[in-house]
Amino acid sequence: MKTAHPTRKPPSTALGAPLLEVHDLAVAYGGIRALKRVSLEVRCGEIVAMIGANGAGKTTTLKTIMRLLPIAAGRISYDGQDLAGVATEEVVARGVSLVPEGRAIFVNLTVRENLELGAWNHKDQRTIQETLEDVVKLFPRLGERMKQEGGTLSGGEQQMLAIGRALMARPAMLLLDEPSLGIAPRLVADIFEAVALVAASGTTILLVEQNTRLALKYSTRAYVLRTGEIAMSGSSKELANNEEIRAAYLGG
Amino acid sequence: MMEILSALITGIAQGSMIALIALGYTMVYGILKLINFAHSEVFMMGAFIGLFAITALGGTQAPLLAGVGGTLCAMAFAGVLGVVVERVAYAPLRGRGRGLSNTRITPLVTALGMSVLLQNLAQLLFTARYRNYPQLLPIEHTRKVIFVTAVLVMIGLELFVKRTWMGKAMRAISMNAEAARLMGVKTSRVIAITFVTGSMLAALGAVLFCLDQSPVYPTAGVVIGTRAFVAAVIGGIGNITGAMLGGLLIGVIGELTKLTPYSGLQDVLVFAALIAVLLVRPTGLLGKPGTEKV
Ligand SMILES: Nc1ncnc2c1ncn2[C@@H]1O[C@H](COP(=O)(O)OP(=O)(O)OP(=O)(O)O)[C@@H](O)[C@H]1O
Ligand SMILES: [Mg+2]
Repeated sequence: MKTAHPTRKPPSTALGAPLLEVHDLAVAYGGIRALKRVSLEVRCGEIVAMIGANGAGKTTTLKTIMRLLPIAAGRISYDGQDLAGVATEEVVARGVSLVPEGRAIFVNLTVRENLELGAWNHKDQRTIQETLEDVVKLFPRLGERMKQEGGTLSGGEQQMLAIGRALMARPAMLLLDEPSLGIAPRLVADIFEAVALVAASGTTILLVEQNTRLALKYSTRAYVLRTGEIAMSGSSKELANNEEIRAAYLGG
Repeated sequence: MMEILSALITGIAQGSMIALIALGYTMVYGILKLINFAHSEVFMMGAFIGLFAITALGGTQAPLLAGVGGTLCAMAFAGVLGVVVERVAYAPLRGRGRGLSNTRITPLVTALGMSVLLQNLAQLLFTARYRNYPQLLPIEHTRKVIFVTAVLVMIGLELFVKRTWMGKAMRAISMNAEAARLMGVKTSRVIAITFVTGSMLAALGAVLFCLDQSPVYPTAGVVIGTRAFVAAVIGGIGNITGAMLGGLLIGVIGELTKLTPYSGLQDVLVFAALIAVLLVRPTGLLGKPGTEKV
């Protein structure tokens, strides 16, 4: 995304320095521990992938970063500032946006209204309009469907809408939770290409995926999450060639 | 024939007023999935404050000033009361019960408790005496004023919800509250505004209701609140247009019943209508299955 008219100050973190740091994070649902001890970092400008089986705790990690879930132990910091006690809305205002698992678009609102809500923190009409044009350039299919209700879009289009909606906030950091989930393969490629473009324009990305092949292809580094703990981490190339990973996540 | 026509007109006036109250139930439900039983007491309190303000402003001596001023006072007071109820009784539960299974039942019980509390408070403060509003306008005019005001307010509300940022945020929250927060929407503020709006409409309805020769007393909210709630459910709870429709339907049914020898059965018929509608359309007239609108 071009940011010709940035309305939010870019992160003070220098390119290549840690933008998001998660340190020994533990999270529980009621009495059940979903995350035991998760540490990871995403440096400014990187695409980092987080892979892992069903129930490993990937969604829990992202939701906790967005402060939708309480932290049981550990620390999360973004752009040098602790996120403990920060409300979700404030995390968004600081420049982090999440594209939630299952897309969570507003089904009875039009595509345009969905996108406009994404720009909630920007009340300047011109900025909103420009960002909207950027999003439509990225996903031309959305442009053709502006007046349609979100719920009438196909799964892939809904995913595009969910990503576009998150981009409307002009985030410095984008979290994506399984963007390939339940989407036709042809559209999955489009979506990942779009994500790569977003990254190329300077947005830092943390990508959660069950499609390990894709995740490792598009990321520079990756973490493997297993039952609430980081089991492995390294450069995506290394991990793609790792025997254990190939056996467990890449089908041999 | 003339009788039926005049009953229809009265019914529509009555119904539009019921609709004003039904809107509060439906808006709060749309956003919080909570039936705010205290809403009928906000209505009742609004009626009391309206009476005091109208009297203080000169009553029949200055009908226009007293009518308009009294209504505004009642609305302001009810708006504050609505938010206080939300902040004291519902908001704390929302924060705590996140993700637990009884999150819908607990606030419901709290809502019932709040309703009883306010009734008793009114009893204590104002005594159980029935009080009548001064006759500010001849009764035929009152009904016209009720109808016109209600229609204008509903059009205004429809525009507010469809066109403004706040309205869009309300609809977004009703569809997916978590996603709305992820957009940066401060949901607690939107919830507060929803309570303010609904409560102010209830107070407006209350003043109009009492100007139309109905007395006010501490349990005055019960009967009318029940009818308004039924109206909201008939229309499809969570749906604003539905609440308006439901209100009109109930008003007309009520007035037409009065023409028959069975006028005492008004509420029986109202509930019969509710059951009939729900049997045919379980989500109410305009409610969509699966999705919920404000
Ligand atoms: N609301 C909840 N209440 C209780 N337990 C939950 C809840 N949500 C998730 N869990 C549990 O927490 C663990 C981690 O879940 P999470 O959704 O984070 O996994 P995930 O890695 O995103 O899985 P998937 O690939 O299926 O999306 C799982 O064991 C899950 O059962
Ligand atoms: Mg998940």
